[in-house]
Amino acid sequence: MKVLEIRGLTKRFGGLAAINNFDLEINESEIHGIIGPNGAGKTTLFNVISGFLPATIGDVIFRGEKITKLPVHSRVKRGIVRSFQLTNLFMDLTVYENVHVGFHKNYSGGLLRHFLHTAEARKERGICGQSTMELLQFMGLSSLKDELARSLPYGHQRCLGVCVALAARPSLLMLDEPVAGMNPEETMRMVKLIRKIRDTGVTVLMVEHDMAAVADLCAKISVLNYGEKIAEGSMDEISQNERVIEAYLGRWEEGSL
Amino acid sequence: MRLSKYHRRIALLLGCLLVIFLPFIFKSPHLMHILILAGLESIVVMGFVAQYHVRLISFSAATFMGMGAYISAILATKFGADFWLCLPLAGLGTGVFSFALGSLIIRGGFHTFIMISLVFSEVFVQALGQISVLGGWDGIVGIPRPAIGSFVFVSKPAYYYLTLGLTSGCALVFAAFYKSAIGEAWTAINQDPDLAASVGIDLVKYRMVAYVTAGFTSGLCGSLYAHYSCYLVPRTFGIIRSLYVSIDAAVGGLNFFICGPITGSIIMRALPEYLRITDKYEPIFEGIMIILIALFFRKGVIGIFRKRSARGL
Repeated sequence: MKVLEIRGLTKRFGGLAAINNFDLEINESEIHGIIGPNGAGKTTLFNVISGFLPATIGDVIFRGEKITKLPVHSRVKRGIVRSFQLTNLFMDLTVYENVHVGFHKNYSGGLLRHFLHTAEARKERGICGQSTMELLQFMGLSSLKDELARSLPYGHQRCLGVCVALAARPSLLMLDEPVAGMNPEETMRMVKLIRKIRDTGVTVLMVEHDMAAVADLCAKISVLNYGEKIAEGSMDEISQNERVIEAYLGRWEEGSL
Repeated sequence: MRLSKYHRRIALLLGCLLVIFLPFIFKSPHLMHILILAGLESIVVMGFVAQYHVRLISFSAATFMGMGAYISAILATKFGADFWLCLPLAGLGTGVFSFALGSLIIRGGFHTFIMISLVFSEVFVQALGQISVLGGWDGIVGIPRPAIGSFVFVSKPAYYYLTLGLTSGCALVFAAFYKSAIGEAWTAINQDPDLAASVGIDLVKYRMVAYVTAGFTSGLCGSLYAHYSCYLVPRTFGIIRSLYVSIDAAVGGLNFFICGPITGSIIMRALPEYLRITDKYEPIFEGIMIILIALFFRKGVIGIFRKRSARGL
């Protein structure tokens, strides 16, 4: 079953088309990778899918429903959650508080209930606290729960970023360069973690530069260059593709030296 | 300098006792007057801090107080309404207005909000001054004092307790917000609005809650102010007063949502009195004091007693 479908998506900034006539299909419980050289439009694509930027033309369809015009929080309600490349944490909150906030969309009903601290609202908060601890255990962060996010080592910060996104109970998790800047050991831990998340039934869409991690994780990879999809397939297929090689290495022309 | 939880509780208890029995200990009406004004202002400052917490920087904090004051004054002088009716109506009227204005300008983003709030504070003063039905530049005089049965609030201690009640009430309202899931969402927006949105927090909705609550409580505060001073002039609620509100908030500590505003307001109201010995150089010394506080106590006066990363009521 298709989780996400993108049809003819174009995003223009003034005259520049950051994404041009882009199509994409992602299947249930699949890890789908998006790669491409710097400035290919990967992050823009993420922003359009998650609703941080409006699309110029085209449609984003999530589980059969057109969501192109919805604001960010409504898309989160439906299950599309993203993590960020850099600013991915509430830095002055503790690890526990970070994840606790992540559960926010699970609160039901009106604000008045929360303002009045009704029994129902308190119970909901209690459940939220329990889920927070469970998730921290799943991610192996429970021993750090009272540390400030700011004071964590980089690898743990990235891990916590994913954890906050998971708290919002995504059915499609979008990771923006999850292993960027990590050492090999941290990368391996993150790769394992992403696979573990997929195994719980979450579909993953990731942008990544680390080819080893992409090859390891992704069943299907789309290659983006100058805002257009130039190839799609397994790692083996795209690594043979001429346009991909050209995009990454440049064209070798006779007499160009 | 950090206090343990035990010591903080004792300090809180002593503080409460002092606040309750203050009029019996210090009989100076002048001191009472300063505390009444500080108490009223602290309500507006709490609203400012709540808005600041969701990254809305308002330059029209005092304007909403003025709106409450004028609604109350007009109801009382033109329609002969009782204070106890004027008070909730002033709050409600200001709340409804802030809802209408908020739904227009909060969506517009950070800069729109600041600019419109700046413009609005001046437009409000000009409107009051130009429209003669609203009293014009001469203002409104003869606003009746509040009364319960045959007891009329005239003395400073009577007003002191009235202010104490209103300020505590508003503080409780804000505390209820901060301690709930709403406050948690506010803190998330404060830390990182993009990330907050990405976990499903509706930025506009939660900002509106802070904005309208601030409007409502400021309206209440304005109403009591009108019935305390018994006359109103438009300039009282101009941009300068709004700037002072933001200074109060910073002096008290922006990370301390209730004790920050109260401390800040009292310090900023008391400071000019103690600097009076410097005569005409008073504004200069006041400015120097504010700069010193801004330089050395970045987290405000309350921040001195708390951990660096502390946040709370």
